[in-house]
Amino acid sequence: MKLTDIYWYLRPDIIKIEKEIEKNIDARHPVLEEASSHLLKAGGKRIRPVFVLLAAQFGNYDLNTIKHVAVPLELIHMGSLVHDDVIDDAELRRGKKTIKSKWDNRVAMYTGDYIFAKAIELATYSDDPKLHHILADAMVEMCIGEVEQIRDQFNWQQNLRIYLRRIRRKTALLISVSCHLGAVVAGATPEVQRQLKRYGYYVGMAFQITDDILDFVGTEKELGKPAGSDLAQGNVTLPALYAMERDRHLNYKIVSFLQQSGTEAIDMKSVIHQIKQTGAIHYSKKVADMYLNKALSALEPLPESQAKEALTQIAKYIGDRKF
Amino acid sequence: MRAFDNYNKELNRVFDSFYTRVNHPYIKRFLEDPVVDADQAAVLFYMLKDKGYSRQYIHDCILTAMFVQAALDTHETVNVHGLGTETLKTKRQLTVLAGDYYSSLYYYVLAQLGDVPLIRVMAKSIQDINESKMSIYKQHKKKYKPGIRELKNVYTSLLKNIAVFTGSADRVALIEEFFLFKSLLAERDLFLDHGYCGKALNLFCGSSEIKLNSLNEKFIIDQFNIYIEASMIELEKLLRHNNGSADFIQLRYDELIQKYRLKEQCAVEEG
Repeated sequence: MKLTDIYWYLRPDIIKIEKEIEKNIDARHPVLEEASSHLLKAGGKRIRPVFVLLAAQFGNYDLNTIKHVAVPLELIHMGSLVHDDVIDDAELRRGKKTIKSKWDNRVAMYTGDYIFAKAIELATYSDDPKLHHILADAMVEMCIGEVEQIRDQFNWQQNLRIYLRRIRRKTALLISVSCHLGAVVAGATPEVQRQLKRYGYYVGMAFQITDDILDFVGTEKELGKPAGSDLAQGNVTLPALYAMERDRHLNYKIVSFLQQSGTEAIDMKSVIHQIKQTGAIHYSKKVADMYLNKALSALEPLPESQAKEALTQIAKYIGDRKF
Repeated sequence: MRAFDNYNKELNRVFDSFYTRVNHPYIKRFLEDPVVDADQAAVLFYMLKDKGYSRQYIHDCILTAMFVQAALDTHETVNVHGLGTETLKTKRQLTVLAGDYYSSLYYYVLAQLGDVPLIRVMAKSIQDINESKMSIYKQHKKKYKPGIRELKNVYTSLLKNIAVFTGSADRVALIEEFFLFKSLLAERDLFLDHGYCGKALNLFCGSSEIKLNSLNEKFIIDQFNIYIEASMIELEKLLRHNNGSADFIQLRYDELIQKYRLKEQCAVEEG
């Protein structure tokens, strides 16, 4: 089953949201307009607006109100991808040239700034002041998370707490906010808002941990990049952390590599093999499953509905994700 | 002319808040603190004070405007191409993230205050500025060629939009002209001393990447001087109508004239 099959019944509204996004990233200058729509045309699951729409179904579902959250959240995600590609000096995204690659860093910076500002402007058309508290708080946290990810690159003195805090800020937060704000703008009860916020957080954590597992177990064809890329770039994720605890020889190998900031070659194939031998993948899967179970528990008190079923299936889909 | 003693104390309070908030220990290891434009802060201060805004509102408005300006200025320093050494790479990465962080702070502070209209003003200003920056950076030969209007937008959209929002639309022309004048002088200095290519130079040359030689250097300096003189004339015209509300700008204008000895230069040229 594809992810989009789970929420097929929302397709007309998702198309409307897509059109709203397209409409709102127009700009006067042709390069700014082309760059802004470049990423939109490269596709994407639009999962954050989907979470907003699903969460809103637990309150008064009105697309004209909900779009003031759904569209900004997707634009914030898009803006961050534009800037991420400058940070990572990435040439390709989703098989297409990045903005910084097609034009240059300066165009990418102006475009990202423009998109972020557009997102905030659109959010101001919502009447709910709580929306801005939640969204602004999340944006500050996400920025801090990104800075700390740079700080922790090639840092061999990490632990589980640092890793979990990093992925919370990097991934879980925006998904949590998507679910939370969908419920807020739809006027859902505080209890429902709380449960959906928690659901989003747990699903986000599981999603990122699964991503980090797949980076070691996937093939280059499946991943679109060589296996072990995270570690090769100095990002120490959960499977590597666990394996380093379990295998002293592997620990020494990885620490030496990290201490050289990745300038010395490492036999990644052998490292991946050793990581698997320690049971790190199995352990990481258990941690991801634990978060998924928490996500499902967060949904339990909510009234039965098509939206609840869709959120349940999304959580299970993430758990079963192969690539 | 009014005394300007009080504004220093008030602005220092804002600057303290600003530097406390932007401080991040890891960013500090690689990047200098953002530079605040004290003139921008002072103009805002007097404009809002004259309209009877509260001390706290003035503080918050200036603070958030400074976050926006810091974000834009920081992002302007991201190098156009290439990675460089590991340290340069980290520096570039953090420059992007620092700008995003400063930008998130304006939204955070205003969201806490519940000032949604002012959030919109800041967000629209950022869009306007990036539109104008792109106009200058990527000049379209067949479509509208950017001019001094775009340069003014880059330097003053933020102040201008705040002025209109807070009922000081009558000050916009003066604000635009003063900051254009000041920025042209500063950019000319940076070009002469360091060969720095800023927005004005992009505009004059139609490109951000030019090979400098004695001919086009002379052209560039001539362009700077032409626009500086034109701006001076316009500013003096606008300041003639000063009824006290533009005293601070008058003072700063006089200081800049003296610093750059512009009246002497004009006298020499007129010979």
